[in-house]
Amino acid sequence: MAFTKFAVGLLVIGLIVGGIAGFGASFALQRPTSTKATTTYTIGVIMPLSGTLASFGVSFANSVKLAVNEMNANLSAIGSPIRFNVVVADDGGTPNGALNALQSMYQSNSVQIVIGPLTSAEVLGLRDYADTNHIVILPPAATATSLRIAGDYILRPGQPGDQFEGSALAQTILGFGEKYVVYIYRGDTSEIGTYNITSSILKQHGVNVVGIEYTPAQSDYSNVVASASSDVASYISSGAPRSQIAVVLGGYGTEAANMFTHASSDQYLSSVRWFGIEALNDNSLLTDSQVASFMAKVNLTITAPQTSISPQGINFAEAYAAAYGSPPEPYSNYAYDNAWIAMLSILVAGTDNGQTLIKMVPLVADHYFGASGTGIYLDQYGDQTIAYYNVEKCVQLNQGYNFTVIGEYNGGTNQLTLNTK
Amino acid sequence: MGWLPGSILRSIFESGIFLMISIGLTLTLSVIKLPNFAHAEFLTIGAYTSLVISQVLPNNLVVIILASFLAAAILALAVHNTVFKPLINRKSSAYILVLASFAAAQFIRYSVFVAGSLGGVLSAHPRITVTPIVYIAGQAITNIYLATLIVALSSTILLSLFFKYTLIGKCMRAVSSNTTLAQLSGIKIENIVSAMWILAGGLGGVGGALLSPYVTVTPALGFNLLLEIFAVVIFGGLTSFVGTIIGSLIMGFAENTFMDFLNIYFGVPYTYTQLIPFSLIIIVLLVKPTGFGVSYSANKALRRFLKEN
Repeated sequence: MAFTKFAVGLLVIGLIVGGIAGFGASFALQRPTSTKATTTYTIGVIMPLSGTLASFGVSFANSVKLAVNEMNANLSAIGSPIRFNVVVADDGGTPNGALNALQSMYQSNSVQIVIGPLTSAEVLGLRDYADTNHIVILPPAATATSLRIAGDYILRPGQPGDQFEGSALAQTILGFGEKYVVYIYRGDTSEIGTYNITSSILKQHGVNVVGIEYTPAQSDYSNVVASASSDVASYISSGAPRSQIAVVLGGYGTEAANMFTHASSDQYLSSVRWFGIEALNDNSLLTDSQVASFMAKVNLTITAPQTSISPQGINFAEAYAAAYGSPPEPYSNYAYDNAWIAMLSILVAGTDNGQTLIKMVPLVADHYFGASGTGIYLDQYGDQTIAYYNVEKCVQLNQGYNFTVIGEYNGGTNQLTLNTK
Repeated sequence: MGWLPGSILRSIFESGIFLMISIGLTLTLSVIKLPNFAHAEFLTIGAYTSLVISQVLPNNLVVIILASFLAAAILALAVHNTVFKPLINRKSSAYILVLASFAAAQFIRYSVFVAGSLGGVLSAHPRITVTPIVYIAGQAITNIYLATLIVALSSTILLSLFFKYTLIGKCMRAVSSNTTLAQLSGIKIENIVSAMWILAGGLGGVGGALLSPYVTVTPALGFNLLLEIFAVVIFGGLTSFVGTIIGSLIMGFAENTFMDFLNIYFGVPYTYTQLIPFSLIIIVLLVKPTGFGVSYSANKALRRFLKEN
């Protein structure tokens, strides 16, 4: 009996000890699992996905998504736990829409860095909110001189500013020997700025300039076109040769399409040379036969930031076409580059905190060379200072219409070189 | 004053466009007294129909106009049956109906936006060539200007005659005057209202189609013109076809000849173009809230209808 009690006691103790040992061993022998948690950073995109600039807005937003997808694929391939996410908002192309979009993004997604908006007016709409809340804004194509502010949260590593564009346009008009200019321009911050710079340079060289400002986003501009026609007619009746009269259009999108359509049936406006800004190199204008044939007929000549063909640029264009089934709109490469600069800055900084990124983005941008095909060097205002422009003329090709390069403008030396007129 | 003849011609042609895009709303206000904010969307549908049809039949204005009428009429009828009719049957107030028209407009606009985005036609131009036929005082008289003027004036005159001399037109006036009494007198209200929606929507669609050669077709095309449409109708006294012609002329001349005058003699920039008609609206509402229309007497029309039938 005593033996039995002893044996049972021994068995119980043995089971307890064995149980504890087994439990401990199971912990000790357990296979280690990954302790790396995925960190996701959000990149905001604010663009006009509706309204007159929708074709640009959609293309720019798609370019950012493309950059993010490429970055995530690379991060995944090297086993990095970091991922990037994109939040896109439509601002309708308005300053108030841009502000609402940023407020919503910041409050819902704590977004600290944004690619966009598209125009300078939209950027001005959200600037105060971005500064107050330390949100870094990287607009790819907002070029107004009024955004040249030191110490704010707007950094523009993309398209060079209007001070370069205004000079490029003025030098081109002078290069063609024009003496009488009718300049139709959009009543927004950027185009008013470009008009002021261009007309000031032209007037210094003795050119007679008449400015016609128009309100953006109207459905019809027949009276604006009629006014320009009347001005050209008065130049002609006062004895000015048509070869020295030019019309400049500082507008784009559906507004430009409407004006070109009206101008195409105008006998005076059809008989002089037209100049314009880079945004007129727009697929929606070039594929509209009535508009494009007029643009070619009047030898529409524009100055556009030079996008040298770089391997990155070719890769971007091919990847975009493969992903979305059509080529990107002009200047989408700036949106793509801005997205890469934003993501690289976050990776280097190890955070997406806006106060850190505002210091990191210029450092990364100054050492970045991407799809835009030019280097970047930001000045004290956070703006791109390397500015080369192509002079491009609209021509008819075998299949449709396009712009062809006929010259070059160097912003550093203020020199224009025309290969042909 | 060399600018004046050309400017007057341009004003007249622009007035034709204003008339075409507004006349359908006048009809809606006449018959069911609804300030339908979704009317602008009928223009958008008409313009998109023009875009689609012109890809197959470029420059065929007759087919494009007919197709645009049909597409917008179907949409108008659909909006009536799915939104307004159930609300009217529930005896919803006028405020609810106006709000519903806002909601319907938003729904249509964003549906077009989604469809346009998927189809890659968020911003496109129909294959209709604007061709100058003759130049008068430096102003090009184009095929589209002429077509718009002819269609707008003939639509308005035919609509007036339709209202005065046809049975359906008289029934519409009766419904407009007193729906209950009209129903008691044997008029099938639903059929009359449906006919009204077909006409109102269809005419809006034609307006959009005739506008499309000059403007880029976008989902917001109609919405961008909403204030101008209402301005024309307010000038015209809301329910008068003759008034709508006068309202269109006021808008056309205010935005063109008067603006040209201010620009040439006082240096007022064209950025103030929109200010003129809307200042006039405020003045009209304060001084002559009935507008400039010659409105028919609806009660008289009802009495005549009852006597004749």
